[in-house]
Amino acid sequence: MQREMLRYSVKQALPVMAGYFLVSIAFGLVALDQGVNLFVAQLMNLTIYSGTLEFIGLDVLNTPVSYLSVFMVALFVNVRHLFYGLAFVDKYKPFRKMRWFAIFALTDETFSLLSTITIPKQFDENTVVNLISALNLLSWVAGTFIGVILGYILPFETTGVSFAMIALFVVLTIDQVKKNTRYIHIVGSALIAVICAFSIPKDYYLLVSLLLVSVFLIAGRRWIEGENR
Amino acid sequence: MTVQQFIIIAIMAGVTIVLRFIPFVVIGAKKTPALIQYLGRVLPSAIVVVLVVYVMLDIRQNWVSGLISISVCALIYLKRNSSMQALAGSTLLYMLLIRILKI
Repeated sequence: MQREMLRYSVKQALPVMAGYFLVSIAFGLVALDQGVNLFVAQLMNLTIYSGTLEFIGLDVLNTPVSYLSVFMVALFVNVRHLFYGLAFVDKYKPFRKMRWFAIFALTDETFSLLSTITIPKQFDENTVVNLISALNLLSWVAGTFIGVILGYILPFETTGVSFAMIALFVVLTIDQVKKNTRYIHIVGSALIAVICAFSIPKDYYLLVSLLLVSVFLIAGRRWIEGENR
Repeated sequence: MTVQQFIIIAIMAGVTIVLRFIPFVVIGAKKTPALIQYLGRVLPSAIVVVLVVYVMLDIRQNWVSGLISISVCALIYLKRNSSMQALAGSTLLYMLLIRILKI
């Protein structure tokens, strides 16, 4: 059973592991470039564990910047994690094994992956969630190692590697669309997302669009849920 | 690592961890309100959509290369059902396109 759960977790987590591995290699390379040593880079991986914020961190570590700005940037960039927790409160509530780890490791991609897959009933969901979360984290850590090593060996130019994140989300979206029987809330959210993309400055995009989407979902509850009865 | 660097990392980690834990701590062992349960059903797919658009904001400069690579990614994934092939193939293509086409 243990081995089956592990095999299942690896199979499901593979897309995220691949994406994380590629992008964290870039993270390692940029860290080396910025004079951030491997220890500090891995410290960031194991405490912050948030791609966007970590890349920003690499920029900021060598710049004289106020702690208040760091706080504000961290808050705005990562406020979306509040919504992930909101969506997973019930899912994680019965967990008794290292629940804190599952919550800590809830990144964008881990969240997207976990909301797409349907864990077979015979598996212990707690264990599978922890395994998948751990596998993703491991890939991120491993890629950083490789990136730093590669940076020492090769003169490597990695512009464009972060596209892997976009590719990952395309794959996850296709999976989500395949899984869903109701579309009205996806279409509505997509509309909001695109309108915001053209009107809201990037720094506030996530916060504003997630708030608007939440308002839309709550206000339109009768229509959205009604569609599926 | 300097003291300042340590503090910066600590702030980033602290904020992220608090944000991740708040919903779970606030609701705790109590019964989850029906509204939150409903959000749990519909938020995930809605958030994924928002995230897709968000990451695409990054490549506005090279949107043509981006569009081509995203299409290729979707095609590979739909045809071969392998996320690794879709990811690796489209990323390599994107890196090539932005160097060759510069668009």
